[in-house]
Order: sequence, then structure tokens, then C-alpha cells
Amino acid sequence: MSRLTTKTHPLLTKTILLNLSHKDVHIIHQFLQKDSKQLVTITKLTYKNIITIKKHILNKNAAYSYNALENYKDVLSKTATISSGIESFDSLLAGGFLTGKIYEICGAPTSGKTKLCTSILSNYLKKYCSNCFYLDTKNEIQSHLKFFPQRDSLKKLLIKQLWTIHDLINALYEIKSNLKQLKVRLIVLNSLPCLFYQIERNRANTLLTHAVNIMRFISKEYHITFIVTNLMTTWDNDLRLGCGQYWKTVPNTRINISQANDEYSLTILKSCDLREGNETLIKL
Amino acid sequence: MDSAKIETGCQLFKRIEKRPNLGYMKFLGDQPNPRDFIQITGEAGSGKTLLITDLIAQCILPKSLNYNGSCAIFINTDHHFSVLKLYALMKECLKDTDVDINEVIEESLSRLIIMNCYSNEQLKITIMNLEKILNENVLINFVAVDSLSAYFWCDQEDVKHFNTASYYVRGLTMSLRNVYGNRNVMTAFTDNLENPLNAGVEYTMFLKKGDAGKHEMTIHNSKIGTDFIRHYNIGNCVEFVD
Repeated sequence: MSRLTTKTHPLLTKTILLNLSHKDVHIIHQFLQKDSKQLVTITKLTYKNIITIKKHILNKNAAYSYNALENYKDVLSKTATISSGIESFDSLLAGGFLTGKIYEICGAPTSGKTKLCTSILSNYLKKYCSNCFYLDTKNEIQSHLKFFPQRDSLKKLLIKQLWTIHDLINALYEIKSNLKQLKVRLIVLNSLPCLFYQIERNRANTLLTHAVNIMRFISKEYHITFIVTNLMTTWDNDLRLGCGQYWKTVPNTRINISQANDEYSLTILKSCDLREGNETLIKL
Repeated sequence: MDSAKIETGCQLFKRIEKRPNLGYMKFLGDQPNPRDFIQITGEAGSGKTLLITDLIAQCILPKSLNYNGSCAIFINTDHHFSVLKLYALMKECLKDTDVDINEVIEESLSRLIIMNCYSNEQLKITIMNLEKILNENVLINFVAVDSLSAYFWCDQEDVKHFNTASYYVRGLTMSLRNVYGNRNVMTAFTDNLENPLNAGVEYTMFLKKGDAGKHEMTIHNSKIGTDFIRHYNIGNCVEFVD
């Protein structure tokens, strides 16, 4: 929601904004929806000026139009594949994690989600020279750091601990505004349900949508991979995914992890690019 | 919006006629009318994005190969759509032809405009801005949105009373109709509603995941009140199996 301010357009002075505010026109969308003749009466600007302001707001705030051919060439040149470091997992993902996508790793408690994330991070630090970000909601990354083989590579691992969903939104905004300096290609969020179940469901969905909007912006516009872990619980012999109905539609690819003896089974549950139901066994 | 301008009947007829109609759509089993709305709904993983990608391909591939050869706009809100997937899908469509596939696909892609939205407000403003884009390009006759319900929960913050997702999606379809006015523009959109919209759309494609990769599509034509069911597989494109 963008508020109307004097920066919106030079013709919108403080007095005009006050008059608009008295008529319940506070945000740019309300200004665009309001009849231009009524706006002339409220603002005392000319009809031509109102149209100029509306056109200016539309041009500045509407989504940028890409020609699909240019977009195809851009995506082709900038998209990279990030290896998980586990051969059979990479084969399951048709090469690895694609940049510009959100992946979800879901599974029952103690199914190995954190262990898999740690393994991916450790392999990433070994293989790539760019940084990666770890958003930790469980406050347990310290106990896993000792398993990272190369201590030098740890300086490429950026860690932020989160306690609430507001922290997540703030952290994402911070990452978004410092992306050029951070040189990040991979962001891991472990785990989402810790933040989601703290607040009332409708409010949580609204805040989650805000967080997802920034995640999508970061991943799509800056060609970064997101890996988010989520919980699966059993209710009356029925497997249920955590974080509500809205989150169900968010990830581009959903991978289920389950433990079988000393091996872990990975299955594609949902994907736009990969065949659902494909599975593989890995050792961690 | 402030688009009202006086024009003669001849001018209006000429303007409307400039925008070509879309032809037969294999998924609908019908030739839709120029201003029809197609709703694609169903559970996560049922192939909604793939279906809308296929519709875009049918629209932009050239007329000489029995497709539509039109220009289209794609509004991306869920960010499941991939232009690489569209490329692969068009390649699949053209595999039995003797044309230069890459050249045809590149030419077809140049007829598509992609708009990436990242917030509820941006989506609403982008819809308002469509009027300008449609006026600039009279060959655009198809708009696809994946999905219209993506920012439903953000909208709940801005409204005084809790609305249903259906109410929110219907509001956006009405905004699209207002923006199109008399222009011959067909729209296809996906959503994540549990129940299909009862009004405001001409076709509803309800997708249901089935066992062993055989899914079910119910196509409801609200103009004549008929339903027909087809089964499909999800591969490189949506393949009917009956």
C-alpha cells in the first residue's frame, strides 16, 4: 500500500494531500479509482493536471512489461543450477536447484530436514565462491557448524536468527536492499512453521503473503534460490502440510523427506518442471 | 478510468474489428467469443499453470501452422510460470512440422508481453494500466493471469470487513472487464478457490488430481449450461488421454 505523498507527484502539495485525506483518499490506488471530475473539485487542480498525475502514477507503479523473447534470452543467460552436492538428489532435480525458484523441503519431525539443509549448505560453501544466507528460526545452527569441514568457507555463510514472522519480513527487506553487497545465490529458511503458528491464522496468512511477495521478488529479479523447510504432520492417518492453505501453492517445487533406516528417501510432491512422484534414496 | 471519448459508429466498428478473434480452443472443445473469461481452478499440483502456458502457446503460435498468431499479455503473480517451459511446450507442439522450430518459437515469443507483479497494489494498478497497452497494440486479444487469487490475503488488510476469496477474485474480473470496454480481448485466469465462481465467467475448467498421473478436467460452459469431463496427463504439455 503506497500512501500519497508530496513525492508521488510535484503537483500534489501538502494542502492538496490534506484535502484528499479529508475525502478518504490516502493511497495511490484510491486516487486512481476516484473519478477525475471529483478529484478536480477536491484538489482545485485542472482536469488535465489530474490526468497527468494519474498517468504518472500508473507508469511508475504498474508492473514492467517485458517482451517474452527478451525475457527468454535474459532467463537463459542468468539462470544457474546450484548443485546440492549429492549426486542422486541432483539427478532428481534434473541437475540441481534452479535460481529464481522457491523450493520446499517438507517432512515429519526428525525426518532429516535440518540435516539435509546443513549438507546442502556445507557442499555449497565448498563448491561456490558466492555467499549464502541462513535464516534460522530454531536457533540450532551453532550445533551444526562443527560439522562443516572447511572453517575458512564459513565466512561465506551469513546467518540471521529470527523469532517472529515480523523478523522474517524485516530480514527479507534487509537482504533485498543489500543484495549487491551480499553477493548471495542461495537463501535457506529453516523452518517456517516456527514463525507461522505463533499468531492467529488469518493474520499469519496476511503476513506470510507479504513475506512470500518479497521472497518471490528476490528470487525472480536477482536469480536467487530459496530453500524453505516445512513440517508435515499426521492427522487420522492423513498427512497434512504445515503453514496453511495459502502456503500450499507457494513453492515452485515441494520435496518430501523421510527416513528409512540409515538412508533418507526424497520424493517430488509438487513441481512445475519435474515429474511428480519421482524419488531417490540418499545418505547424509 | 478516464477513457471515455466520442467516436462514430463506424470508428467504433473499425476499432473493434481490428482486434482479431481467437479461433477454436482444443481445451474448451469450442470457439470462445471474443470477450469470454475462462477460469482455471483446482488443487495445487493439478496442472493449472501448465494449462495456462498451453493456452498462451495456442494463442501466439503462427496462423500458418493452424494456431492463432495473436499477441498476448501474461500477468505473473504466482511466479510458477517459466518462459523456458513455454519454449519447451511450443517445441513439443511443433515437433511434427517441417518449419525452422527455433525461428518460429522466437517469432511467437516476440508477440507475448510478460508482466511480473509482486503485490496486491501492483496487480490492481497493472490491470488499470492494461488499457494503455491494449490501445498501443491492437493485435492483443488474449490476457492470461496466473493467478488472480495470489494476493487475496494482502487484500484482507486493506478492506474494512473480511471478504471471501471468491468475492476478491470476482472483483478483479470485473476490473478487467471495465478496462477492456468494447475491445475483443479474451481472458484466462487461474485461482486457488475451493469452489468455482458461479457468475462472471463463461468457461470454468475444474482440475482434479487423479491416481497414477491420470487427472480429471471438468469443463463447464455457463453460456449453455453444459459440463463435459476429460482425462489428461501432465507431461511436457497437457495431453488428453480419452
